[in-house]
Amino acid sequence: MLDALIESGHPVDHGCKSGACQRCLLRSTSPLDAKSATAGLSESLRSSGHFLSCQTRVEQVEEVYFPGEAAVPKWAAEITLHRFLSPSVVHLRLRLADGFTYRAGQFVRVEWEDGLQRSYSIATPTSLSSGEIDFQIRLIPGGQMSTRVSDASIVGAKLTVHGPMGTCVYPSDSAHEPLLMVTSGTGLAPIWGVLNDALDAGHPAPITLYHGSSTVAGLYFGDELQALSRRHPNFVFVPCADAVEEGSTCREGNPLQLALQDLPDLEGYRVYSCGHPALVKLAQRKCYIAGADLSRIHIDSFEPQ
Amino acid sequence: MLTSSRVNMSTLYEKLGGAGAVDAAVDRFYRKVLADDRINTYFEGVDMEKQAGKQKAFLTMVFGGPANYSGQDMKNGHAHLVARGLNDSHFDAVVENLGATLKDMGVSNELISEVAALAETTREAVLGRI
Repeated sequence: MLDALIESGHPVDHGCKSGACQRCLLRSTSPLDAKSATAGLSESLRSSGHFLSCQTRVEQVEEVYFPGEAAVPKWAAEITLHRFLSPSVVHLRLRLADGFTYRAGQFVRVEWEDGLQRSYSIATPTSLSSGEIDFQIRLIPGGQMSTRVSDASIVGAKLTVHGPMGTCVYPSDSAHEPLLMVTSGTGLAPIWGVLNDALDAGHPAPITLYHGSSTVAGLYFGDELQALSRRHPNFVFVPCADAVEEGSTCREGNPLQLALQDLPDLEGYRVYSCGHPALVKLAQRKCYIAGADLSRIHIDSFEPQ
Repeated sequence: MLTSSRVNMSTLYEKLGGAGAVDAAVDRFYRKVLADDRINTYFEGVDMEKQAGKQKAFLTMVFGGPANYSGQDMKNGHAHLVARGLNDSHFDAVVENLGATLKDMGVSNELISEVAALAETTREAVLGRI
């Protein structure tokens, strides 16, 4: 539908074309049946006929409206903090207009004054809802947004935030199952929030987090995660890297591979995997094969934007 | 499993346990298929929840339950896989996984044969030979 509209001269805002960023949202006169057309949308968006035009075929929809301002809520925001968590990861904090609420693990789409847009996961635990949210942003050498975001003078910049969106959250009616989190790089951002939500809720079952990177230098938040595991005996943190030096506290290998080695039977687990699309999709597949219910595997794939 | 009071009139679908049996079989069958290196590349890159829905529809059909699509639909749905080399050996592997799933669930050999026979009726359409 998205391509058809664009080709026939109707520009529709879009981003990832993979069903993740929700920029291509359109509204039909009645709710769509196809799950792929509405995957990740809130119940209210779904029931009001909204769908992802990049995931929907023209034949699946009879009549289309362009969405009004109310479809995905918009909020005024301002950058209040900028710091480096590692040479390649920036921490940004935003203060949002009154009334904004979210669940840790969701994501928002940030729009700059010049129109540039990117989606970022909310790294802030839900309990810290003070009107401020945090992002952990990976810097890509030469990247347009990365150049902008590496500059500390963006503090004070005014932005528009669309959202929140996404289902990679700690369920409020948690069944206290064992949790497995598999992530690499800044895929840690949504998982950091979900992890803290679980621990704050007194989650009793084991929680294991595998955080990987190609090198040990690519990891961040190691101290914070170690501190959490010292305070909570049921939380085990496994940092890993493709290449590890002798005597390192990191394990050598890919986070998914190590996770499945340690936990070959995932029946009854709730799994979270966020970040690089290849890792996340493989994690969904392999964790399902290892016994986890498909409905209890939460993924957030950081598609190129 | 459900039994009808007039046993000789109950359908294959009823004997297997109807929609409940399909639900019990879907994850088992889908996991076997994904773990089978002979065929799992044909299931790559597809949204898993969407795929699971298709598996459910397939199982409903071969269990003798209500089926909403035609031979042409089966042909169109698999055409891009046939173009990538999908052939009889792959179809056989799927039927093998289907049988293994039913065996795991304790279904009798007699009923397994009936299900396999229903699956067999889709071979020509799936492989684009109709």
